[in-house]
Amino acid sequence: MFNLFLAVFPEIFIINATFILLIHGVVFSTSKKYDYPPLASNVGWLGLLSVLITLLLLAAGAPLLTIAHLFWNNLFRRDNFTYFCQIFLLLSTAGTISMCFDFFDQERFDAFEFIVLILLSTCGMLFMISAYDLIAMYLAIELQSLCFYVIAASKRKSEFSTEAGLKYLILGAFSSGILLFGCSMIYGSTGATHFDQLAKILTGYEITGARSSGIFMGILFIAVGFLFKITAVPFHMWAPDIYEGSPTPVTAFLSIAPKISIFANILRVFIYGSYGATLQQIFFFCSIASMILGALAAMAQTKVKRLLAYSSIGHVGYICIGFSCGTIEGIQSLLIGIFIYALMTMDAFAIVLALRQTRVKYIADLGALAKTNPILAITFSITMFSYAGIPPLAGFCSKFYLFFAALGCGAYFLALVGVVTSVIGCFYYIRLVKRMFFDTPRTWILYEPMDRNKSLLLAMTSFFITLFLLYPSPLFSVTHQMALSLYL
Amino acid sequence: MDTAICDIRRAFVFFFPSAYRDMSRFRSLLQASVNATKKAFTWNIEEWVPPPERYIFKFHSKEDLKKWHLYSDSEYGGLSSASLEIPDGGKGSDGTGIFSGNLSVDLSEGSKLNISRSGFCGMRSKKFDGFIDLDGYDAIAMRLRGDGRCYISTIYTENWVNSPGQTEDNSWQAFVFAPKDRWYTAKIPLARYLPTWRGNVIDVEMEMNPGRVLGMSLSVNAEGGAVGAKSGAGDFRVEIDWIKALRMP
Repeated sequence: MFNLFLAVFPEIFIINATFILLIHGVVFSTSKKYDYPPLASNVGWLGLLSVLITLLLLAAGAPLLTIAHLFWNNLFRRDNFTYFCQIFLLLSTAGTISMCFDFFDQERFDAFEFIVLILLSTCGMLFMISAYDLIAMYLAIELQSLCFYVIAASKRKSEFSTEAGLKYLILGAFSSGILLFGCSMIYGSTGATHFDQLAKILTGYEITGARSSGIFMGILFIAVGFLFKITAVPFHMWAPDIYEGSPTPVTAFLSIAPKISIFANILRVFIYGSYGATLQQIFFFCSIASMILGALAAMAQTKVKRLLAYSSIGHVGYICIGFSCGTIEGIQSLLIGIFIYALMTMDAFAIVLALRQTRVKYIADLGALAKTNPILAITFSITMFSYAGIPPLAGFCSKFYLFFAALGCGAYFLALVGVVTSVIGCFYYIRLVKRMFFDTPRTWILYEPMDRNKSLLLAMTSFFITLFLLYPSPLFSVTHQMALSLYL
Repeated sequence: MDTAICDIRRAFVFFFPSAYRDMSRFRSLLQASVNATKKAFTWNIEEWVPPPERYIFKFHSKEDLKKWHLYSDSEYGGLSSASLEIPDGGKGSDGTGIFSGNLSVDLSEGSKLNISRSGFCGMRSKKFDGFIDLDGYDAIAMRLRGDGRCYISTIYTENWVNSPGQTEDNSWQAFVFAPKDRWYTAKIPLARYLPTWRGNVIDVEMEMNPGRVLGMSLSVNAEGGAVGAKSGAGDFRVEIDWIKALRMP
């Protein structure tokens, strides 16, 4: 029997945890008796615990999900796709929160609201993934984005960081506005906002002769709004500035969690809701442009965080290849690509956070790493090689499957551009590795050892990246199931 | 062969004058992108980071002096005066700038603007279209020979929370001690610059954004300064050779 309460339990729990942690933080951090303690680490651990409990509640609700259920006036839907996607999102959030604890200590960052906002935005992302209506989708996107706008500007002392937060606010608000405009045009032209109804109206609409410019513009605007949010080219303008100016844990969050949930929404809206050739051209162009720009612009970068920003733009291009195909294989390759991208990005940002204390801002500062901290240098190299797509690492598997899917549906040019830009990308990733291992350092920087959370996270993610090739079938079958349940 | 190409070019310019302008712009663009690609492909590590030190201002010729303008309290009714010059010592590029003048703490009668503290002079770099990018540097170095007074070095950064009509930029100030009669390189870490507003230090912990520096200034006050430095009204004179940005290893 379908029990609504049990289905929504993860979200209920995480919202309650957010409020309880907020009250706990306010009461204790302003209490004179305890001498106004900084509660960022405290609330951080409790927040991590609540994310893991939410994950448990979600994962243990599995027997309900063999059949898809719509709930709350049909605004949300829980099926296999949302199940696995939400588990993946919660795992990424837990990993990223665990990276932040050292940052709180060393920067003397005493705003516990950081964690509360992250939990709230995680709840927004859970809703985003299970949204099944344009209104629900928009509300969840706004809940998630608003929290991120605030934490992107959390380093208030520095004007540079505040500028990055302001740019993120403008970019996000503008893209939400465009998205909402598209939703309203679709509602105006069709009278429907629910994805089931939209699927019946919009699927293949351009060949049934029922063309309407309102629908076309609506779909176009929604696509542009989504592309802004995943910072695909040509809508990527401020992304490197935002990534560079925000505090590093926030950059880590920005590049992992919203991308997972926005891609889930893209899949829902465009694969289920309005499947057609309208968008294939847009996403084709955007993925080609993202791959090319990501490869070429990253070559000229001298700062580590900007390099990671451009490489994430490039990776979004590869992942959009999977979307442009429109086949089940394409969706499956997109999901595999997102999963491996999230792991690699967590790896990369954990390393950047570990090196941050020793003032590594420029790539050239990495020179002494191989001699003073060889294990970290090897881990960094594994991550960079995986980004470059070198076998036998996980990045190669994801790119291989993406290009395979593109070839399978006849998008030969896409696969060709992908391969060429991968090779160009190899150049600067290998240049980083060369810098670490084979160049004499400019100045000898002594790297401090990292804390236990980051080292555990790095161990787990690099273990996965290295050994994924040996046993890829669980991920392949999970993503296949997700892709199938998207269509059914 | 050469003359044939010259003829073709001349004919092209004659028939399509605007196209020639666009062609040269296109050619310069092409040259710039070829250079950038070549730079990206070299393994030369030195180009990856900004150089460890970099000149911001030099005081070697009259052209360098044109970038600065002087101000003093005489605009507000005081009686101080200042001048900035390079003495013609024969060799053209060997001079050093001399900032000198007279400080007076008296206010002239009948001035409309009442200021509470008088006796300051300074030289400020003129505003230009663009920024001085000091991102990656963490200290300012100045080569000075002074008269034992304590000078104030100011960095102006862009202020983007101004209300309309207010043109003042963020100013960050630090004391520089110029010892008497010997050349001295003063190194001031950027962290020592304090945010100020209209002469008073703001008691807030703020981080400067060194990527958006609009200008610098060197000024002298009749009162205040470090213990042991000369202060008070009277003449002042400081010679400056250059101002550089440094990165401490």
